This record gives sequence, C-alpha cells and structure tokens, in this order.
Amino acid sequence: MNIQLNTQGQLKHFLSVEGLPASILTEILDRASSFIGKEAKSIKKVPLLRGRTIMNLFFESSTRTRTTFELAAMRLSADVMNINITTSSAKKGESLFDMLKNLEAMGADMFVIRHAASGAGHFIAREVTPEVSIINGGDGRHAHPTQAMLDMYTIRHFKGDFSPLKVAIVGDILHSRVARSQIHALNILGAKEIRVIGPKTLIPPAIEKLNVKVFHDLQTGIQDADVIIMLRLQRERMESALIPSEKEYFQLYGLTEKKLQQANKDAIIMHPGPINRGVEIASEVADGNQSVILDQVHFGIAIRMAVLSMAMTGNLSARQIEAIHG
Amino acid sequence: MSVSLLIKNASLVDATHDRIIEKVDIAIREGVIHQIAPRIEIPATQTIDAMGLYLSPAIIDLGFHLLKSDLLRHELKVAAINGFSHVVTLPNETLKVSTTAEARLLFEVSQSVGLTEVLPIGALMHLQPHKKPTEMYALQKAGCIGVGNGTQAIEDPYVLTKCLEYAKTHELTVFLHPIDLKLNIGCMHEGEISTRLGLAGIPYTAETVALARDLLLIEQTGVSAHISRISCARSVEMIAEAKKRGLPISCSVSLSHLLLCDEDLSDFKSNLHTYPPLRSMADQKALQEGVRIGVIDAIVSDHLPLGKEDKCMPFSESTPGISTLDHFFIHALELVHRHILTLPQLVRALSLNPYRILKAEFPHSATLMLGAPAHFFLFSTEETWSCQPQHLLSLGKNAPLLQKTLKGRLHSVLLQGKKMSEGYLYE
Repeated sequence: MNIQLNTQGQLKHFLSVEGLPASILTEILDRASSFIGKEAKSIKKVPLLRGRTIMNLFFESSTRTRTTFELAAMRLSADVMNINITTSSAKKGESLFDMLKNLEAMGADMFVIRHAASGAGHFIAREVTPEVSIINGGDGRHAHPTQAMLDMYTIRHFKGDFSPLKVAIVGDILHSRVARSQIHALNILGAKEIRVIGPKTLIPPAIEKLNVKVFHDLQTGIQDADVIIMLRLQRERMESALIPSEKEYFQLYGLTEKKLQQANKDAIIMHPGPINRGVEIASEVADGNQSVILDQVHFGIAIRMAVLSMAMTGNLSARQIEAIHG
Repeated sequence: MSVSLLIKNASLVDATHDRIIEKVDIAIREGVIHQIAPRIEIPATQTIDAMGLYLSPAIIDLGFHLLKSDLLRHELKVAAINGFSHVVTLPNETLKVSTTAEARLLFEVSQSVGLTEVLPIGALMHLQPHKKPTEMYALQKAGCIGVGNGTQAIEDPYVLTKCLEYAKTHELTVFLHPIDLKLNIGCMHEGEISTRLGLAGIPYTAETVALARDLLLIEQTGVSAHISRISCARSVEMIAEAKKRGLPISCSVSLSHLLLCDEDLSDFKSNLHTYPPLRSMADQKALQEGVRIGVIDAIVSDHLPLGKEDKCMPFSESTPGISTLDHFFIHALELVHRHILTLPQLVRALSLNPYRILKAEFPHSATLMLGAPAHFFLFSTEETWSCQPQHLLSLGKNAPLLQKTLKGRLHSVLLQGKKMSEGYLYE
C-alpha cells in the first residue's frame, strides 16, 4: 500500500506523484478548480482548515514555493508557522529526527518540507512522525509533486484532454525533481508522448524506462509539440564538467522565437521558475503570447490549497479510524 | 580409548568432493577431528544425535570490517555463536593497521576473547609523510595474514606498483577492493532506480576502471591477490578472463549482493545504504552465477554494525554499511532454498575456498582431515521459526537481510570441539 494513502485510499501525505492513482490526481485538479475565483487572480478564502496548525520547514531556500504554501494555508484559514532553519537547532547539531519530534510535540498537524536530500519526505513520513501529514515541497532531485500538479492544471486549463498531447521537457533533467514529478503525472494522466531534451550529460541514465523519448537536438525534440516546459539551468552546472559554456548551452537548447516555429502554432510555453533570461529561454518567448508562466504561479496557490485540504482530511480520517479500532 | 564428543548420523557437507555424505559419525578428541566414518562405536563423554541435521565446517570470513576493540570483542563472540571460526578484518580510514602495535593489539583482543579468531589484514601503503609501502615484513611477523587497501581508493598507480612488488617480495597476498576515487561519487548504483529516486548514482565503472588497472599491475608484478567484494557483472567477466590468463587471483562477493539489488531500496531505506552499492538485478544474477561456477571463490559477511545515529536519517546522509552477523548462515541458506547454489557449493564459498585463499599454515576442519581442529556447526534447512528481538545479539541493528520468519536453524556450533553458547556474551 502506498505510504501516502490511508486505509481508505485517501491522500494523507503528499510526497511524490509516482504510484498515485489517476483518480487522486484528478481530484486535486478538480478541487483546485473550485478554489479559483471568478475575477482574474482571485483565490477564495474558505474555513476548511480552521484550528489546524501547518509548519513550513524549508531546509533549502525558497521564496516562491514557501510564499505560495503560506498563502494557500492562510486561504484555508489554518494557523501557519514558518520555521527558520538557518537559526534553528540544526546548527546546534540536533538531528532531523529530533527536530521534527519536538515540533510534533508542539501540536503540528502538517509539515510542508523542502530538503536537499532525496527521500527526506519518505523518511519523515515513515520513521519520524507518521501521524503528521507530510507535504513535500521538494526533496533533492527526487520529487516536487505540487509543482507538477500545478503544471498539470495549467496544461488542462489551456489544452483540455491529455490524451492527444505531445509534451517536451527541456534542460537539466538529471538534477530536476520537477521533471521527474512531471513525467510521472503525465504518464498517470495519459499524455500521448513525453519527451526530454538536453545534452547527454544532463539526461539521467535509463530514463527511457519511465516511458519518455530522449532527444539531444532541440529542433527535432520540439517538432509538433503541444506543450514545452523549459527548466532552469542552475549556476553551478555552468561551472561543472557537465556543459562547456552558457553560450553554447543557449545556442543549442535555449528557446528562441525562431526555434519555437518547429512546435505547434498553439503550443504553450511553461517554466517552473525562476527563469534565467538568455540562458534557457529568450526574453521574447518568456514574455510572448504563448507563454503561460505567470498563470502557473496563479494556479499554484489553488493547487496547494487542494493538496493541503485533501491531506488534512485524509489524516483526520486516519486518526478517527485509529481511535475506533485501536 | 575414549573421545570427548561423538556426533552421530549427521549429513556431512563435503565441499572438496562437491557432495553430501549421509549418515556419518564424527569423533572429536582433545579438540581435533579423531575419526570420520559411517559407524563409529567408541566411548564418548558426550554424544549428539544429529539425525536429520547437516554438518558443515565453520565459516572463515574474508570480509569483516575492523571495529574498535570494545565493539570487536562483542562482535567476535556473536560471530562464534553464528559458526565463524575465523574473521579476516578489513582496515579502514581510522583503523589502518599500518603499525605493528595495531596488529599486536588485534592479536591480543583475539586471544583474550578466545573464540572466533581474528586474522588481520595490514595496510598496503602509507600516504603521510611519504607515499610508500608499509613495513610488511614486520606486520606479517606481528600476525597480519596479508596487506590491503580496505575500503580506501588507491590513487597513484606508481606507488601501487611498488607496494605490490614489495608484497611479492615477502610472498604476501594483497587484498584489493577496486575503487576509482574520482568516479566513486554518489550513494547508490547509477541506473533506472537512481534515476527514479533522484539519488546520485555510482556508475559500475567506478569499480571496473580500478579493477582493470589493478589486474594489469597484478599481471606485471606476479603478486598473489584477492579481489575483495565485487559488485557488478562486468567485474565478474574481467575476473574470469584474468583467471583464464593464469593470474594468481581469487575473488569474493558480499552475501547482501547475492540476495539483494537496487530494486530493493525503492523506498529509500537507509538500512540498505551499503558500500559497494547494491547494483541492478542483472548484476545480482551475474554475481550469483559467478559463485556457482567458481569464478567468485568466496562469500563474505561485509559485516559493519551501526547504530541509530548513523542510520536514522535520509538515505544519502546515512552511513553506508550492513549488519549481517546475526543468523548469517541462515540468510546464506536462502541461496540454497532458491536453487542458486547447492549446499556443497555454499560451504565451499564460506569455508573451503577462504581456507585455500589464506594458504594457511594452520590446519582447519574445512579440509575434513584427521587432526584438524574441530570447528563445525550442525544445522537444519527446513525448520521455520520466528526471529524475535532477543535473538539479535550483534550491536548492529542495521540488519535489512533479517526476515521475521527464518527457514533453517543452527543447532550446535563447535569451535575446537567446544560447544558455543550465548553464555559467552555475558562473560
């Protein structure tokens, strides 16, 4: 049984898209839809999580994701706490295990965790605080499930049905938790074809086993694509043995207006952000009329509200069952 | 004439002749094998009826990680209870065994426990203040049965060559574990599973690149070498080819690499974080076949007991290592239950071949020769039983091989004809 689901098959932890049934993913998308207001950029405020305590534990710095989780929790009327890790007990040598046990003892119902180690969320949910809902805000290179879900929402919003879609993900797939989660989500929701595009040094081994086609040439890879997702190339990759230079990377894999002509006329351009203008994406594309980058951000709040409320319901339900059956 | 112990009606596992001899009696006198025959009628102080049980010579483990004295003492007692007569200890970064003082300390610990004996491997080279061979002659005199790199990568091929030549000078066996320092980055096998889990993967070439170099230098210097704890199919091929060329080498694999692969750590369990990493199922199968046909000579425990402070954290942050000592032989029996090895092949890999590799000057029951010390254990293969926490005696709780129900059981362990019991742990 997937560790993320309670005995009734409801979502209790949200650690990874992998292994979840399509019905859960669709429920997340539908629920998010219900939170989006009629006016542009408005998100409804609802009392669903009033009285519940959510703690944001970000071991890796993040403004965007942490802010959207905080906003989502507030829109659900929950009490939110941001635990500042840099001044925390981790610096005093306290283990992750002990830190979380202590926070649980203070009455947390849910932790939103971002951590540099892949599998951190699984470790915490399985061995540290199984009674607390764990929401993965990104763990190492493994998964960023809420990002993948808001990306799926965006695709569904602009394209409708997943089944005829050709989706291309471009860039540093090797180090990308976003790409891995997107690939799982697209497979579960039944996208027609998933492509990854990048130099061999940035494509993880055996990725074809995840039902994706690998391309090393951008023009060929985005041919007739309906959705193009650009990934950020991090600063440290530019100095590593993985690519020769920023200049050559942009020349081969940077998305420009000209190269975009290979794709379908109504292809949408996405990016999880933050964008590096002139490195993976040209300004005219990022700001152009095919770009839906800012819509992604807007949808992100509603998606996180959906995930937080579903996981909290699943957790409370599990506690009730536990109390009855002992 | 009477004997101290008479074992009756055992099924003797004879690895030398690849067979099981049914209904055998063994007489033990003054701690050594006195007689082996179908029916021995001789007065004995004690008799064990071994009907329905198998008898195997005790285990000689060529891959036991060296521990600090206090921990080592305890683990030696656990090893004794689990049927180990000798353990060859692998040096590491903190316990290098580069001086005779360290070698003598190990000898003293071994003697004072007086059960499972320690056979230390000494360091192969010094790095500070100069890169050079260790005082191998002195280390050998102080009790080291060989020299090796333990778990550390060797960077400089020139110094390595000189060390191998110096070991050859003294006809010492070199125990080499092949690791390329620069390629050895990551925490699990690089492949489909590491891609799914988003964990940094160690490619198999981190082992084979170093192995290629080591084999060429072994060929050049003619030194006798044991390639320790290989983990991939390609290494098995390279060892087979080198043996065909006549290189004086032997090879071992850890039990966990025969029973598990990277698919087993799909949920990030830190207890399966081990070095060398568990590789693909194809690698696991190649390693199993390697043992079956004898390209791989020995199976080792690779035992490294670790505590909660080393393992209770996300996978990549945890310390690599597996505790395998508790019920080691019963786990190894899995290979027989799954028809991967026969019982004689298993005992050959755990006892007879390690003995031959050591070119030991001491006699051992592995040969089943009269006058050899009576190091044996009796076991059943079909008995199923539930493994409870009180059955775990090692200080290492990082034991992922352990199942709740085990199939097979040790009935008696004899070292020098003396019965081992848990009582020794409390002395």
